[in-house]
Amino acid sequence: MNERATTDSMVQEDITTATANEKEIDQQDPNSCFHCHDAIIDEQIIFDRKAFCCNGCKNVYQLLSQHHLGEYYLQDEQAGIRPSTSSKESFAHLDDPAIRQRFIDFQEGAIIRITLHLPQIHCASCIYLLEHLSKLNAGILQSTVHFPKRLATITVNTDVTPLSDVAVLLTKIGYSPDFSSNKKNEKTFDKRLLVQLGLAGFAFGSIMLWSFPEYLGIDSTYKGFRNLSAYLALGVSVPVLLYSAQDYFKSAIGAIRAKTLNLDIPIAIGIVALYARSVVAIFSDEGPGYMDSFAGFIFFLLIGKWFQSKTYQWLSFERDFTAYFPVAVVKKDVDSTVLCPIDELEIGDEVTIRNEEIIPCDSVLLSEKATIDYSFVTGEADWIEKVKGDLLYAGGKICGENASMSVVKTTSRSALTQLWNEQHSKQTELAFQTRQDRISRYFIAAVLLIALVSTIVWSFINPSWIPEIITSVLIVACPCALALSVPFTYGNMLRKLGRKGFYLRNTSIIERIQECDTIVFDKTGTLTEQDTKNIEYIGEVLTPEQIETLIGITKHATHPYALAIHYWLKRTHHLTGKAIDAVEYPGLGIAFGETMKLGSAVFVGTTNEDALEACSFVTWNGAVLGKFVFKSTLRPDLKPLLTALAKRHQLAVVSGDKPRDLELIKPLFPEGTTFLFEQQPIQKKAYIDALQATGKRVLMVGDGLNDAGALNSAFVGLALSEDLVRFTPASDCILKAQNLSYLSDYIDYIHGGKRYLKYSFAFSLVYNLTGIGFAVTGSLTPFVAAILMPMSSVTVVALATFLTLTKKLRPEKEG
Amino acid sequence: MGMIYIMLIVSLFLAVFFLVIFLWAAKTGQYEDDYSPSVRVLYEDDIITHNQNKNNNGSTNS
Repeated sequence: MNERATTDSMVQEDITTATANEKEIDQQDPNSCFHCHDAIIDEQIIFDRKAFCCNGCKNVYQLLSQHHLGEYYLQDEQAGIRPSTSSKESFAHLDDPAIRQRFIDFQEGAIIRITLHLPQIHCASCIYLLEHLSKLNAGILQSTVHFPKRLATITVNTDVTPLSDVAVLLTKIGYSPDFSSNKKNEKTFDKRLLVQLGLAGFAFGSIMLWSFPEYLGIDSTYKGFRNLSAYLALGVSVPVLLYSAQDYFKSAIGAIRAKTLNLDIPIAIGIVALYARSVVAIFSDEGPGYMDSFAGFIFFLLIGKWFQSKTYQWLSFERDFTAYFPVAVVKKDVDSTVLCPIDELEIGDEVTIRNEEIIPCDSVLLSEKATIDYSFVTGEADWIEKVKGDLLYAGGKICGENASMSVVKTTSRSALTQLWNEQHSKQTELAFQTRQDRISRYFIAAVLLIALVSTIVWSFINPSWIPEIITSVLIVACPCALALSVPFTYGNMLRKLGRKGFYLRNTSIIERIQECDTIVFDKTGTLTEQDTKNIEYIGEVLTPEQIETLIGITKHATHPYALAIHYWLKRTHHLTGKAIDAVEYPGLGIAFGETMKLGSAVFVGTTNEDALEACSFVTWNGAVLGKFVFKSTLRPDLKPLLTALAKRHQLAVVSGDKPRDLELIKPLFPEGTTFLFEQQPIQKKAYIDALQATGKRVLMVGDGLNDAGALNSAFVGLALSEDLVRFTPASDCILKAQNLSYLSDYIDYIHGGKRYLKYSFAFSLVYNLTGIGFAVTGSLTPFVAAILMPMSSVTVVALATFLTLTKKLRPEKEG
Repeated sequence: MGMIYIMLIVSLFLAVFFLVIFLWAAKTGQYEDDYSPSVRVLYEDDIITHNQNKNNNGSTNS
């Protein structure tokens, strides 16, 4: 390729790839974008001696450097985010005083404070940029970022800058506000737990300090001192019992009311026994009792709990389908238009849905025609043309021109909602007894039995020892090590898997994955991905003139297909075309007068035999020349993954597509795999239900809203996500799509967790049994038992941490 | 021996003092975001952008 620079109105400097290494660029890797660090495919855009992958990135850089915010790039290696395009209209609801009331925190005249959830916040540079918004826009007075919650609190003078402009600015620099989840009302961080923890820690430390003389063997000669320290300990222990430990009592009482046993019951009994014994000791002038152990016990338990809550505070999986829908739509009112929240739409309302927006409820199309992308609902990557009078289902995304439609069903009654509301909730949740509870059920029964038996035995030997013995048995048998081993082992595993891009909702999902024996895959988007580089041209041979024109008209196209064709032609024909002014019809195609048209079948005026194919047609002077077909390609490394998974699981594939790719995927799967094609979302769900009715536990791997019902019915629903912050239907876990090939490793690791837990359980069981042995023979005083108790917890925690964190997991690179 | 009584009380007050500070910090949300402040402290704005702001007619930033 030769160096050939072209200049035009859009791009200031534009040089082909081959010359990148010459000293025009001041950055280390000329093949990755200076702003977003994505690999630059096909064409660099050089600006200010830096290489960018697209105009969007260049614009953000320009915006930042104009306002002297270049320091942004110094804050973090991975600073930029690929910007997305968006229009002011899509944020119009922010300028409507009634609707925006739901989002804003505070308003005084024109000054508004709003807290926005910006899921793309990911590094120090983000904080830097977002807290300097006032430099980018004069109307923004102040902005503060809350990093763990991905929130930005922005104070705006709406006289200068309307809120919708703020949202557009944010979107332009790559932080698209997410209005779907009402994050700001959620308490992701539990202040109460922190206070409980602080109190317990305070009491633990203080009582230990005051008990120090006791440890050294102070005796009744110093009665006054012993009493003082004992009563002080009693005083500080009261808030620990009443406030810090209250959750354990509540949970234990709840379990007793529901006539089940849970782990909190032995813990609660242990706490009460320890406390009661200590109170008796204090009032009978025996010294401070075991208040130090009591406070320490609560302190360690709460640390385990805090650790658990801290691990995954920033992930919210509880999303329903309404998260995909716009919050408000433009409704036609007599002779004006108003913004109407979607829950307030009524049958017969006329609404206008704009490009890229999702149809919120089933409607009849009123415009002449509309192009709709139903990939959310059906899983098919193709666009569907609808004409006036057609029924449009909720969940479709409008591509291209605005469409007006008349509502026939309100949101809550739409087809999608039905799918969702159809008893999809995990009823298994109740029936499913976690392992921990099963063990502790036997455990507590055994402990109570032992306590009872030793009471009876000791009533014959020496009745005066009975309180001591009972307390020792209950304290030493208290399964606190058991209680800690689960949150620590699984909590560590959650954290470790999360770093590899595999996010689980909570620790019980780990146990569920261990129980799964069947894995069902969705095809489109899960096993395959649309590859815009794998293009095939079918039709008449193109003349050089036609190729030149094609390259020219696609140069500034926005649609990914057109761009892909542009780069593909350039690559295969070694050409650098000049831009030609052509008209792009969003969602339909590109027209260069009547000479050349490139676009969908409807756009060029032909029909496609294979309606499922993703393709673009090209015409020359009105005659169809041929079509560019985009093939879906399999994700890499599926074969080893599926072979590894088949060892432990039965596999199946359900797909919404026609069985076109069967030949492609069949060799990958082991013998005996079920393949089901042309399945509607409801059938996918029915298939999962049928499997589970036969006693199977199904892990469903899917990608989109069209799998939502199936993901929800499955014992474990795993959603693949190309982009972790967007498009995550309610599911039990989310896996980064590029890490799919490691799924078998992760499942192995999760199964390994069972083993780690067994070690911890075995350890704490041995400890408890030995302790009980000494306790029932009367050779263990409650004091020693209470010292041993936290020690065993610490050992178990250390063991669990060591076992889970030393295991190596792919990929090496984290994040 | 009398000393130890004083020390006992002093230790109690010292611990209560720290407890109160901790509770205050927890209540005012200082443990919520433990990342952004560490970044924020390193900004060097004032040197960079004062002139620019004046050009923006300075109507707002109060």
